Amino acid sequence: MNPPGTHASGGEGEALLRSAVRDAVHRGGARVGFLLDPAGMVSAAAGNPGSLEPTSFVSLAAAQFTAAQDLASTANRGDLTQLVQEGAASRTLLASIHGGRALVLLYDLSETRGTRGWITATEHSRRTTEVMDVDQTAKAMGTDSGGSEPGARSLGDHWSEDAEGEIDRVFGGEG
Amino acid sequence: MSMINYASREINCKIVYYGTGLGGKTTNLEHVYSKVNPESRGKMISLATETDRTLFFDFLPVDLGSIRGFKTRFHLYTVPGQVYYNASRKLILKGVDGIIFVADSQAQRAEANIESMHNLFENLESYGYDLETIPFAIQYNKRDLDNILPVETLREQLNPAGVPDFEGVAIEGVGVFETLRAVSKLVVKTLS
Repeated sequence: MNPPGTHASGGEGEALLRSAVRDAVHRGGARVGFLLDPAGMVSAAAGNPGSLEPTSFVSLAAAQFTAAQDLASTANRGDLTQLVQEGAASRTLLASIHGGRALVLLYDLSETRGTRGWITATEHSRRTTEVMDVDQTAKAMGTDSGGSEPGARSLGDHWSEDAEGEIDRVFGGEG
Repeated sequence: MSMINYASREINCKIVYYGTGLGGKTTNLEHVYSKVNPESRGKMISLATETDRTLFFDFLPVDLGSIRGFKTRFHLYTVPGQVYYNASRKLILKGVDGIIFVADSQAQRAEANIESMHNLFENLESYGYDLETIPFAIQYNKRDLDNILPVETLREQLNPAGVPDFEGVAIEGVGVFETLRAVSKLVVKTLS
């Protein structure tokens, strides 16, 4: 993922992208799906995480994918566009999406597989329809970052004052 | 930069603890984890070696709750301090909103502190980030040990710009929240 540098125009584009993620989850039969912005934060989510803790899952997925992309670039001098990790009960698919985004889809596997901890990188041409649809929607949005924007609009002094109060409360250190 | 998601009305801010190996970055995060109300924090993730040296990062999400309709969350990360893990350090800095540099006050770690500070500048520069525009604070940790440098010396070496700095004994929790509050408030100010 690239450092943030794009600005969201909001509105229709981001709604389309959220809808594309929803479709990817439903059509592909995934349990849950997340679209990450260039900073690795969730900009769209769909599905039912169940017992999964989304924040931890997304943080690890973003780190793994970014590290794998850097590894591909450093060691193999190639681009990594998709990574699949499969265990006994679930499969995680991570794919790069236009604009420095990443799509993370988690599938439950209905039957026990013999392969555990299997991990593979796939070429761009072998990307799934779900991934390609989200990618196409992102391309149609141009540089729109999917609802997230790096502080382009001011939230105002009142918001900041309230936030500082919450920081004192949460980070008071009193336990 | 803080990412404001107007569609879902969420704000996520990323704060990174940086500094030399064995300086106390993970200890800072562990103290935050132990003292923050469990309802406000998520699970702490540590990708570490068997000897508890940070291999990739530690991660702790903290929820500030809804502020004027925006669900606001801080994502706290540490980086591996060991010199040869620079690629990992660089990855963690992507999209950073605030940085806490944890310096080791011991005299014998002075050179390592300076090297780590230079490394921070270099890594930020590689992304086109400028530390002068990023909320930044320094914690002079391990003030309880012998053979430590005076704070004035550490300031001269590490803080010529005069950013907020704090003395710390992270293992006892001293200075941990003071430093975190300072950077967090600077981060939210960038959004106002």
